[in-house]
Amino acid sequence: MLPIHHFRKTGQLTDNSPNARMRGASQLKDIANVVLTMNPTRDEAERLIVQTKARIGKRNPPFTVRFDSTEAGGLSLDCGGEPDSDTLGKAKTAELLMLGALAGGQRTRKELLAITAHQRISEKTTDNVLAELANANKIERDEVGREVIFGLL
Amino acid sequence: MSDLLALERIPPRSLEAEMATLGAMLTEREAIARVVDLLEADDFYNPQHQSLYRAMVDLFNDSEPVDLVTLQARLQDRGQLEQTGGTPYLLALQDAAPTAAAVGHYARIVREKATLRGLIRAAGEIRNMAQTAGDEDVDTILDRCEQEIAKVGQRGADLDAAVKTAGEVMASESVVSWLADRIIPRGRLAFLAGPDGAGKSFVGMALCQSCASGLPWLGHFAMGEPGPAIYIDCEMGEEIVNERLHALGFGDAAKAGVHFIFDPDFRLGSEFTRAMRPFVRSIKPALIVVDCLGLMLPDGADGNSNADMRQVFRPIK
Repeated sequence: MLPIHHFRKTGQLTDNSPNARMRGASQLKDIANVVLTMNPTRDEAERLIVQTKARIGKRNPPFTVRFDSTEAGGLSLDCGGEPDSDTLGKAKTAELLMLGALAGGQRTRKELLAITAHQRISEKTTDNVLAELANANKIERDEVGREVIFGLL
Repeated sequence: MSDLLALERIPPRSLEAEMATLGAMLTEREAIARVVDLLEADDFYNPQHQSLYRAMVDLFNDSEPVDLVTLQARLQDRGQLEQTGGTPYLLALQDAAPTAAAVGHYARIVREKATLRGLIRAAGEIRNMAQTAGDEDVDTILDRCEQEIAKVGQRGADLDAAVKTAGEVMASESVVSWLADRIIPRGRLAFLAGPDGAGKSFVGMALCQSCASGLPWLGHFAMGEPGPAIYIDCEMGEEIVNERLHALGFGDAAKAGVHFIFDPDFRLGSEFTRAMRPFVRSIKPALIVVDCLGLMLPDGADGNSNADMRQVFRPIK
C-alpha cells in the first residue's frame, strides 16, 4: 500500500524537513517500510525524490523526476537519475545534493560542504548555490553561535 | 422430517477419528508426539475422549510410559476409569488404532470438526450480539463479530507454525519481493510525501500504470510481475483523474489493470478494511494507492497523534 501524504504547512516548526513535516511523523515513519519525499527544485518541471527511510535493502540515493509535456499533449514522467556533476554540471549537482540532504533534516554549512566535496564541487560553488536557493525561497539560513545552519522552507 | 431436522442439529464430529487418534496414542509413543501440538482436549467432541486425551498427554509430559496399564492407573487415580468406559473401552481403542504415521490424518479430522463446532458457537454469539445490540454502535458490533470469527481456530499451533530456527529461515526460498526494483517492496507499507502541487498523485498513478503494465516506473525502475492496482481517490474526482490518465497515456494493460475507487467519504480504519476485503480478495492487487491520507483519516482522528495513526494503520498492516 502506498498512502500519499501532504506535508503540513511550513512555518509551524523549527525543523521543516519532510520527515518532521509529515503529519503524525514519527508514527508514520515507524510503521512504514519505505518513505519517499518529493521536493521541488529551482526547475519548475523537476522534483527531487528522496528516500528518507528504507527498512528493506539499501536506501536509494536522491534522484530527480522530470514532468515534461509531450508533443501529443501528454505528460512524461522520467527519472533523471542521481545527481552527478559529470552530466549535470557542478552547480546543478550541488543544488540537488543539498536539497536531498536537507530533506532528512537541518544541516550545518560544514556538513553540506562535505557532501558536495564528494562530487569535487568547490566551497565557492556550494556557497553560491546555497545563496541562490535561499533567494529562491527554497531553503532558510540561520546562525547559531559560530555555526551556520540551513533547512528546507 | 423432524428426524432430519434433528440430524442437522447434531454438531459436526467424527467419533471414529477420535477413537483412532486415541488408539494410536495408546499404541505408539511417537503418535503422541505427533498430535500433542495439534490437538487440545476440547477438540474432542466426546467428553470421555477429552478425559482420555488429557490423561495420556499428562503421562507423556511426565515422561512416563503410555500404555494400557499406566493409563488405567492414571484414570483410576482421578476417579475417571469407569466414566471413560473402563478396561473394555481402552481395549477397543487399541483395536481402532492406525499406525503412528496415519495418526496425523485422524488428528486433523478431529481438529477440523472442532473448528466447525467453533464456528457454530461463534455464529450463536454473533446472533446474540445482533439481537441484543440496542443502541450500541453497529461498527463496534461488527468489529466484535469479526473478533469472534477470528478466535475460531486461533491456538497455540498457530504460534508453532510461526516459529522457525535461523537455519530454516536461511534455507527457505522466502526473499524480499520488489514491486519497483530496490525501492518499493511488494506487500509492504510505503509512503509518498510532499508539499501541495509537487506531483505526488501523478507519481502514484504512474506507479499503478507500471504495476499493471510491467513497464519501468518513471522509465527507470524495473517492475516485478505485473498485477492489478487499486487507486483510492478522495481528492481529485473522476474528471481530473480522467485528464491525468490521458496525459500519462495509460495503455491497454493499465486501462484494464488499474481500478479507481472514487469516494470522498471513504475513511481508513476497520470499516475501510471490511469494505475493501471482498474486492481485494477478488482482484488480488499488487498495489493499493491511497490519495490522500489526510482526507481519509477517520472523523475525529488527529493526524498529528501517534496513537490515532497507530489505530488507523494497525488493521491495514
